[in-house]
Amino acid sequence: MLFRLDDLDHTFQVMNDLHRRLDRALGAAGLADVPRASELGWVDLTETPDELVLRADLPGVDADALDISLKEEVLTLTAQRRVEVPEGHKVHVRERRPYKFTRSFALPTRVDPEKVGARLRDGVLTVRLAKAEAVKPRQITLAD
Amino acid sequence: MSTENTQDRARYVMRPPVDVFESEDGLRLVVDLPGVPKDGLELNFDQGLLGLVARRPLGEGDDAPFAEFRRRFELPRWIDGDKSTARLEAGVLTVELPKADAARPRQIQVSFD
Repeated sequence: MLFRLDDLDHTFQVMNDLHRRLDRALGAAGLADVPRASELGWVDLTETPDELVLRADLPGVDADALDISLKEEVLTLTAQRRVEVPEGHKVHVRERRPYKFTRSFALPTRVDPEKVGARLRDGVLTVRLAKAEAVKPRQITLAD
Repeated sequence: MSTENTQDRARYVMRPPVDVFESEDGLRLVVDLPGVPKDGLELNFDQGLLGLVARRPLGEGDDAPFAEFRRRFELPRWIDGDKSTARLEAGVLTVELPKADAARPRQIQVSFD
């Protein structure tokens, strides 16, 4: 016999028990149907009269694992996240995913490459890009 | 922060992904909560249940609507909830739930006369 069935059963019993507890707790709280938050950064790109704003959810991503570049009217975002098992710990539940991705966004208007600002706060990246003067809306006053 | 008064400003509710690890000292929960500031976090430990409600503002100002992360965990009995600690960093919450002293493995000294 290659292994003892008893050992195997016990190994999974601990894990299954915790899973069952978690599921039961979720069911009891009426949260079983609540949509899961995305595992890989959601991105919003919004526009105001003066700027474009890109927001990306990047919880647990270090600033040095992040690369943002602008070339012509394409904004490219590269991010990497490591998710490690802490030393001396065993895993019961693992839903958080490591990732490395690159996404490019064709911007809908021309922007001023000198007026781009990026900030990473509370796991959310915000990139603000000022529109080029030529494409900003302008008020036209009537001549008398 | 009162749940009743702010409920109508919650635009949507989500279930955040979680990792659960166990060591000799206890359980560690790690939860992704992007956009949640420290004052938007509510953790309750009551009768073996750990409740997590985290609010993420969806705009500026105190009256801004928010998205809500919610999750509840039934914890094993050997957890000492009073000694739990939590930290929120870069949109990631880490909760340490130590084992009650009685549940820790201990070295038994054996002596022979």
